Amino acid sequence: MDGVDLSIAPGEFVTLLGASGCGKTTLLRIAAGFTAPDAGRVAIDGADATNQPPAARGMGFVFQSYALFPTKSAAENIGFALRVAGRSRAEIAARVREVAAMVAILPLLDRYPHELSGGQQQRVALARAIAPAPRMLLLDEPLAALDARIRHRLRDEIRALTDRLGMTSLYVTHDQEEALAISDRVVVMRDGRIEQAAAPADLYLRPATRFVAEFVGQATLLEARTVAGVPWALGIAWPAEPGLADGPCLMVLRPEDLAADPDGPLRGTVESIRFLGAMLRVGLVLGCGTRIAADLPARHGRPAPGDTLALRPIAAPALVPR
Amino acid sequence: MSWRRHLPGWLLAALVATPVLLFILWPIAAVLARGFVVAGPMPEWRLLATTQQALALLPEDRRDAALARWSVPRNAQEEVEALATGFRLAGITPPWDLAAPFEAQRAAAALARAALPPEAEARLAALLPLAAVMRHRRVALAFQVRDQLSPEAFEALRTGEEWRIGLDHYLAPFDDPHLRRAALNSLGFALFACLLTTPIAFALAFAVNRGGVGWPGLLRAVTLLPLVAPPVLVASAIIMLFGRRGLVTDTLLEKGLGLIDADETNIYGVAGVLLAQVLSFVPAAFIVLDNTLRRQDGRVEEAAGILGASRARTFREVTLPLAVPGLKRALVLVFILSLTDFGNPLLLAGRDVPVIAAIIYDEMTAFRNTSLASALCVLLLAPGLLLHLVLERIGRRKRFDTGSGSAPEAALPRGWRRGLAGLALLVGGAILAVYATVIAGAFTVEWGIAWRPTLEHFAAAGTGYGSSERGVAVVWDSLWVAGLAAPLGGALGVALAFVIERIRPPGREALAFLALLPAVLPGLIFGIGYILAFNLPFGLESLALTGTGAVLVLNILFGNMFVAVLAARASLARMDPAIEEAAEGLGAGLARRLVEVTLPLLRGALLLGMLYVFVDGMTTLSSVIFLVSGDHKLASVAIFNHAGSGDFGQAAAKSVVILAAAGVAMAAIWRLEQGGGRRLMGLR
Repeated sequence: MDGVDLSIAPGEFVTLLGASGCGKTTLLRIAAGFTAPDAGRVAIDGADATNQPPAARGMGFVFQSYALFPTKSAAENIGFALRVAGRSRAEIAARVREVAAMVAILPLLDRYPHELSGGQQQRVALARAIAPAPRMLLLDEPLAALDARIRHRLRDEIRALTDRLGMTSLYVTHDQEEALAISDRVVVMRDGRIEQAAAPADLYLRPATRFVAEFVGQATLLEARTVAGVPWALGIAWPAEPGLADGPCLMVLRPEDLAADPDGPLRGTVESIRFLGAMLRVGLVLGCGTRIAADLPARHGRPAPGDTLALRPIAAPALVPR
Repeated sequence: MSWRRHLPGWLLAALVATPVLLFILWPIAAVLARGFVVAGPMPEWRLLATTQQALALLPEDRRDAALARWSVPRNAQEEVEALATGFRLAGITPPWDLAAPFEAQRAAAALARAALPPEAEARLAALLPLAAVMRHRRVALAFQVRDQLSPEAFEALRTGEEWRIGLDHYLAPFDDPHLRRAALNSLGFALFACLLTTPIAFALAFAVNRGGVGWPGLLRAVTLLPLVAPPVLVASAIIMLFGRRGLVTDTLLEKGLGLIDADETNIYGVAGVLLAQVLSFVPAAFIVLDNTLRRQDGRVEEAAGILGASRARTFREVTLPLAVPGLKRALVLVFILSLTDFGNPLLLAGRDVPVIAAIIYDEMTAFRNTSLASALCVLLLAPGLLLHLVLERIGRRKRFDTGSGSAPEAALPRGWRRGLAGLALLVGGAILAVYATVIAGAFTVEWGIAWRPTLEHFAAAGTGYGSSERGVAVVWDSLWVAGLAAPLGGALGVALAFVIERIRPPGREALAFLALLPAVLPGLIFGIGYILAFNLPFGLESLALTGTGAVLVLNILFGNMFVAVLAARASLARMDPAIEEAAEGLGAGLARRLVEVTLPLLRGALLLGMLYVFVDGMTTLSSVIFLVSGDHKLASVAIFNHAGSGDFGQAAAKSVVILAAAGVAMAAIWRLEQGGGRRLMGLR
């Protein structure tokens, strides 16, 4: 962890994104108070909380392994914090039913964790975290152990839930698609540092570093040079947003930046074709030997490997410092 | 041609199954059966029938002459005894005082006989010669007809005793007040030992796994140290420190400070036995609980923490309920260990506080009453089994599992850490003190009396009573036996695992269970079983193994083979059978597949299995104590005998050499597996 500075606005949904070992979980555990930072400080609502124990911080935590109490039923799990706080039985029962309804597990309240599926266990864990009405929700890769379909559904439900409760959330994942789909802001981490913190669209369209460009979405990185505000790469001039500084840089060419055009300036031989549904992802080898990919509408005929294809840039690719 | 493809496999299966049946199942079955065999005097009607059968074997003329000769009583005693027996055989209770002086009895008997009605008198007169022979001349008769009788029938006639099947031995602890007292003592020790040991072991395991101490690795190592301990190590050290000539009691408190009289105030008795048992059994309970706590996902405790629960509440509501299965297992384990422990009670309480395990030892060594010993052994299994079943009934919920994970990061409250560190210092210090005391004792002329340093306990044997056990030469015998058993046991265990996992013959689960049986049963049973099974196998003296070195090797080999089996099965279960099928598809036969493909992957299991057999062979006591003989001794048994006679210098010297040998063996295996060391550990 090195020079990490991150502040989260009330009600914001922020995601820490990075490969395993990049420090995202450590940062989350420091925020929760499980791990003490060697240096630096944690402040909540402006008040220093660095030495506060986890329970005093008023945060809800959802673990990757769910960490449900195996010897307690779903209802007992969800009501645990309220019971510890000394609330009345009736109050606990009512609150348990309320949050159970929010995460759609009302019929499962009497079951024990080992009698629940992975997705159901994670719903219980979520309900347990929000039951004491924390001021912030921390989620450590909550969907990593689930299969793809449940993962998609649950991630949308989590976001809908935090929106409904107006809950500030810090979410950790290594899945960039998940991060882009549910976050207000994504923090890309690498080797204990923050590479870039930005809204999902900015992250994708305007990556700040080469790492972010490669980590988020599909891209071919091309050596480029900006001359008089116009970026040049592969021997052609590319569309660009105004105000570019001159000099060498890297061009982040995404497959959707190109379109087929018989008069297009980029010519290459089709090497591979992958059917993605609405689109075909066509891999090409250009004359200079560079390999690029382009997404072409699937309905307009299908090139075959070996065909020659001409392409034209239709959008301004992102540029990152070399 | 499928039978051809499978033939080598079936042959291998038969090859490993046979010794398992022969050297594990048979001895254990022999113990189970032997407990029902009751020897005792025949009832009079059986004795009469036996006598009549023997008489019928005599030629008629000799029979009449012999009967006439034998029915003349030699003195008054024989006369009244024969008369009394005759009365009983005729169906009449002798109407005179059978405890009176024989002359008085004779007069009373004559009167009683004269008063009989004529037909009763006729019956009595016909039976009297038989009664006389049966009471007093059976030995003479037996030798007359010896050639016509089987050896057993001859013995039965001569001694008037016979074997029968009965529950007498099993019921003995309920009838015999001495045995009943011993049974209650055993149960009492077992109960207190498990109730004391389990919480201590749990606290230590908690300290190691939840940051209770700053040096968890060290504490774990020290706590596990007594797993490699020569027999009665703890009891010896306790006596050397707190006995009548103890360093603390005698040298320090009596001679030094004049505070106590060490002959009066010492550790002998119930407290000493409990102290020794707790220290001896903490490692076993610790292993179970260490595993339990280490495998708990620390995230669950963190979850309770962030939801507001205090450390104490988290412990009460999360940690403890999750540890319940482990606690149950530890309780049962220590209960059984204490119940079957005879070394500590014998050394520290002697015969004043009899326990069943010590009585089994006495019945075997002093009285050769193998039937009673066998029955008591089997009875010893019952309370442990019962406790297990009762505990399983209590709170019988599904086995809860958190999945594995690292320990929680949060530090324990300071008070907890202080308490746990204090306990760790106490227990760890006690364990280290045990080893230090024994090592010091090995180099001391006469503990408690002459404190000069010496090497004489390591010197060769002198002469005189027990001299063959003196010196450390007997350790060489142990090394030989354990060194032979280790590779055989490791190899057989791995082969058995291969058969079970890959050849999968019918009955493989029974085979696996048999291999595990010596691990669960007390060593006493396995030892007695070997005596019963191999003293006179199939009645053939030429097959007798008792008294040979082979019986020691076999007992140690089959008693500890289970580790190799478990380790190799675990390796094989993780290994894709497709690897071997690929080799078979490429044309490799069974032997080639074994040698080139499978065995290299089982190297770790083989080494671990060998190490276990070796270390246990050097240190085991209960299963081999009845199997040593004049020609074939073992150091562990010699240590027990030395300790029993207070010769702690000799006991300690051998213990030190055994510890050194075990240490060298472990280091050697570790060297062999270096690089693959993690693989070896991964098998656990």
